[in-house]
Amino acid sequence: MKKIIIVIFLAALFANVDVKAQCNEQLVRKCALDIGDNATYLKEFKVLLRKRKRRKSTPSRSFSVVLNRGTHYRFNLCNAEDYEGRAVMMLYDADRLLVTTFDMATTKEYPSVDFICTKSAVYKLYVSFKEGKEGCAVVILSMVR
Amino acid sequence: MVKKILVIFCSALLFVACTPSSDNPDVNIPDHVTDEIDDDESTESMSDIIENIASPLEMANLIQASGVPFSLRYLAPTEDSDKFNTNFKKALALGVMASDLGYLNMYKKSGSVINYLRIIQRLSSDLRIGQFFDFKLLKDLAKADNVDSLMYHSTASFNRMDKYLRENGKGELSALMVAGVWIEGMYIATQVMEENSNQKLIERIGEQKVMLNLLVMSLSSFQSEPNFPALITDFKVIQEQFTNVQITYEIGLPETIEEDGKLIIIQDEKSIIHITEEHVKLISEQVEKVRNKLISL
Repeated sequence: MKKIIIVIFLAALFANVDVKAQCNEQLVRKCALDIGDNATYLKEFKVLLRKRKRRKSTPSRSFSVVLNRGTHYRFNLCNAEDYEGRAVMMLYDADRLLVTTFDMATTKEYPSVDFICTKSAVYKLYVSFKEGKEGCAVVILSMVR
Repeated sequence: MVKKILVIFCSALLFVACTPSSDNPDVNIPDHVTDEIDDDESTESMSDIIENIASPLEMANLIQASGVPFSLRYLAPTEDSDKFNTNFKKALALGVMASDLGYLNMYKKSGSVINYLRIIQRLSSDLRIGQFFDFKLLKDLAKADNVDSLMYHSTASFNRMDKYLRENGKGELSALMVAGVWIEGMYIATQVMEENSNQKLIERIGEQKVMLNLLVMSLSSFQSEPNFPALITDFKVIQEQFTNVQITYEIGLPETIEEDGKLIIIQDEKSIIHITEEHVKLISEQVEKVRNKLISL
């Protein structure tokens, strides 16, 4: 019986830890560790989107972000592992796509993209999940020194 | 007996599993859950736009990278901080101190940050956002000279404080914090300029015309709040000094480089700042007046 108790305890403990390690602050901290030694964390953008409904567009979340001319920025994208969705980040200047973490031509995904800004402005950052799947992700904006 | 133990144990586990961990205060981490494309500019509040107008680190990074020596003279004094005795003054001072902390961190002066951390702790507690500022952790990081972690945790703390204020009907305090960060960043930059003229810094000062316009718009949305009209007037006087600063744009060819699997994109459009040292001098004088007035309120 003692063995059963231990097994239940461990199973519950690990199940709990596993959930917490995903779509929450741990994801932010984990992603912030990926920015590299030469980068300084500036901000995070957290996104949780439900699965696309039938006959609806792919859900996305947008954020405004002020970027300064002459600064070398880095965008790191991290997905929560307990969600199926794989995030795609896009940075727009008005209607011009400047940066994306997904290359449509090669279908290559980039977990981080550097952006050397030459125009101070308010930009728009979008995050959506491929194929409109449910997903949770975080984008870390950092400054490369 | 064993059954009883099992029931109690499972109940306890269930309770633990359903209780948010103290390490993860915001289990509802994602900012929003959306079912539809959210791309309507008109639905966006001004507070979202100005949220990151003024970064405590970016201006300091530019100054530090320019090789300008560190100086404590540029920073707001830490003595007599009891004079910040209203929420208006406290929120402004919090922004000023955040900017100073960013400057200290960027120069890796962790030995000098404790006094600033202490004031920030008091101000944030008084504004009821102290739960986002882990003074002990930051103090320990400063003492251990762990500057990278100190920068991460202090920046993340300010981001959370600001977010909490904006999402809990205290947007005016958030706007004041941003105004404090901006004026102190500008003060440090213009003071540095007087001693170490630097083209990059001149241009960064000039392009603050855009940020200041956004900031004044944001502050103006709280025009009816006490003390805001005088503050807006002060910022508008600085705005007047930017009238002769011109910003033009030039289209160029975008450049994409892939290095070791990493993508680097160099923007094609350039903003060109037309500003003279005389303009900087006028801006500098006005920024100094307003900043000194705000920290001595």
